[in-house]
Amino acid sequence: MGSSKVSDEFQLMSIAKRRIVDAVGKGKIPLVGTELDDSQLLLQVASYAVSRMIVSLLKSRYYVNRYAIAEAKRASAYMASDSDENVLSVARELGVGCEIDKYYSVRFQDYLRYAPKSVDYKLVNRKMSQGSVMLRRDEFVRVLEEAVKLKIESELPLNTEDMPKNIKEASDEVRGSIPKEPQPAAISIEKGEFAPCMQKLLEDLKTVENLSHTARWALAVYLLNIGMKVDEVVKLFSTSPDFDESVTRYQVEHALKRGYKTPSCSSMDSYGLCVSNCGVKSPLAYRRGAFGKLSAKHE
Amino acid sequence: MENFQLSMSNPEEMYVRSKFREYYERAEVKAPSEVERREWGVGGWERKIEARHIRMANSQELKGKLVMDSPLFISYSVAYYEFPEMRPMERKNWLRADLVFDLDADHLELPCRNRHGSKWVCEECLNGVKEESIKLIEQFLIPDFGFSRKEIGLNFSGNRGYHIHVDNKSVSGLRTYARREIVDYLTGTGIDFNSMGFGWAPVPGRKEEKLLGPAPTDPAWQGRVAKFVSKLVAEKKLEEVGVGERDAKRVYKKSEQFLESIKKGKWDAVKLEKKELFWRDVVGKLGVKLGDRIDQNVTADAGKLIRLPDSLHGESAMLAMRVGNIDKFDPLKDAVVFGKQPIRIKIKKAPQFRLGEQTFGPFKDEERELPEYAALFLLCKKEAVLWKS
Repeated sequence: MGSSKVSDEFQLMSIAKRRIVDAVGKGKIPLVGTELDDSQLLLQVASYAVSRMIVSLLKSRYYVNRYAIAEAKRASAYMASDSDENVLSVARELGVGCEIDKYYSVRFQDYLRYAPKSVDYKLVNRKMSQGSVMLRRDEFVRVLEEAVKLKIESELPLNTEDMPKNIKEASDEVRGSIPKEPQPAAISIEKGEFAPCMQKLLEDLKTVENLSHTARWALAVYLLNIGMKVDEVVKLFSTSPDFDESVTRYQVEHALKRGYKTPSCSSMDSYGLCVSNCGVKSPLAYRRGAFGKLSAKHE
Repeated sequence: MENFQLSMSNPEEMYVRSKFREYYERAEVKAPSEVERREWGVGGWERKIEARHIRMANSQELKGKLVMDSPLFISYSVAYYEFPEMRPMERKNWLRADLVFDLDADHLELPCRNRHGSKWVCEECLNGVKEESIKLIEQFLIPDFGFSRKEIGLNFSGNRGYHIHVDNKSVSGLRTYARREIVDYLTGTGIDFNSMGFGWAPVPGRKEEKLLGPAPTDPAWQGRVAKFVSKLVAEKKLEEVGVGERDAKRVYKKSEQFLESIKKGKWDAVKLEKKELFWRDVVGKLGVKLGDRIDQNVTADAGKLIRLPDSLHGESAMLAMRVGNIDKFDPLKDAVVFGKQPIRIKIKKAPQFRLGEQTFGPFKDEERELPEYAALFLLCKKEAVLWKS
């Protein structure tokens, strides 16, 4: 009995550590089969609680966010194949106002908080009635995934005073087996050189906030348009907690190949990314303007 | 305080302020909820906001300020802050904000603006902006967003527009992005053709496919797109959204069939080259046509200051006020608060205007005796000076 308790604890710690190493290292926590017996399922649940303690001890917003993203993706994968009833109870647990009848509908306030910031999720393009946004099942789960992520991010880090010794040791071990936290890219940006919206996006990247897809896309296209190389752009993005080099590289190369143009100021505005009233029509024009003045001075 | 007094150098401003003071001494001004968490701004002759970052502890302090300083404009933040008096903005610590929509006649670009410019208003623009406000409430805020009538407050701005306030706890925490999304929804900004229910469907036994799309009875923007397009076709106004004359004629020729089939979500009644592209263009331009009705910044910028209801507007000497029954509300009469005592003024230039039951003008370089409310109106427009004999 005694030895089984020790091995349970050992197993619990190793599952919990694995969870973080996978989340931070690979950006993905593997799913476990549903054929597990009750005690193993219980271990899985318990390991989540332990993982939260361990990741809190890493004392890094970057690791916490990256962990939250992987947990949310995992939860999302489970919800995709779970029953409506269970998904609904998860939603309620997360405080997302919703209903499932003919559609999967979410209260617009929660929808605006959790929906991806992209054209097809834009509120104006959704069916909405009586304050409820009607969604397909996969879209509904996508919205819940974001809610899970934000919930975990907001709950962490836990208070790490008085953490048991074995948790502290586990956290040291985890630290040894995960990639180092990326340092802000050493590309110097002089103030006034970039349009304020792009400067803000760059700062958001550095301070490790999770940028929306649209924001990243706009920034990447802008950087390419001003002549930055793909490698440099990818390096800049590497500070982001959900960074995946191959995906980022693919997307940046794709943007270059398709010859995308920097979004106009009015587009930036409707993405919610405009931060200043600079009186130009495109973020690129701001740069040209700034440079124009600079070069005039040099002459 | 001292600067305030010193800056008041011209007799018109002194006169208007003294009249405003008299009004505030006798008027009842209701402070907004949680007055102590709001940031306040006051304005004078030159600018609508000359001083801001002001905190008022309670409604007595507000009343005192109005009587003592008699500002020409007073506005308060839609946001609630922990420290409303701190600056810069970040230090105020934003807690939440009311959801407010600002509709201004000047943004509607009605044809009457070409006649009277943006300084003046006429019945046409005031009716136009009133209709837009009703539409916003009845066609959007209630059916789509599900707000109840009693959560929606409507205020006349005191000059040429309305402010719609939504008092609902669940929206006060929304940040800029979410607020902008709401404005985009209300103005039809960013409508995406592919999301509006368009698609090709096979026709049994035939090679070509037919174009299906939204029907007027569909909810939200899908239905609205079908309704707008139906209206444009019925009123032969497709050119307004950039349709060429030849294509437009082709549609009008079969407009009856088109209007009938669109009711069932069939967009195929008219033969057009590149049909999908054609409708894609039309839908793309709808948003542009509908936009600009609402001042985006007021809603999206959760740090904006907005006119205090029950306060006087320094560009009109009329009252910003809560509107009970909008259908019966006549701003040019109901928001007039000053008396009829004759005042002698020298008028530079003014088009004909109505205030109360009476119509005045047009005037050009003339000396006149007008009832106090009309004289103050022209003084505030800066198109008249006091006439000293």
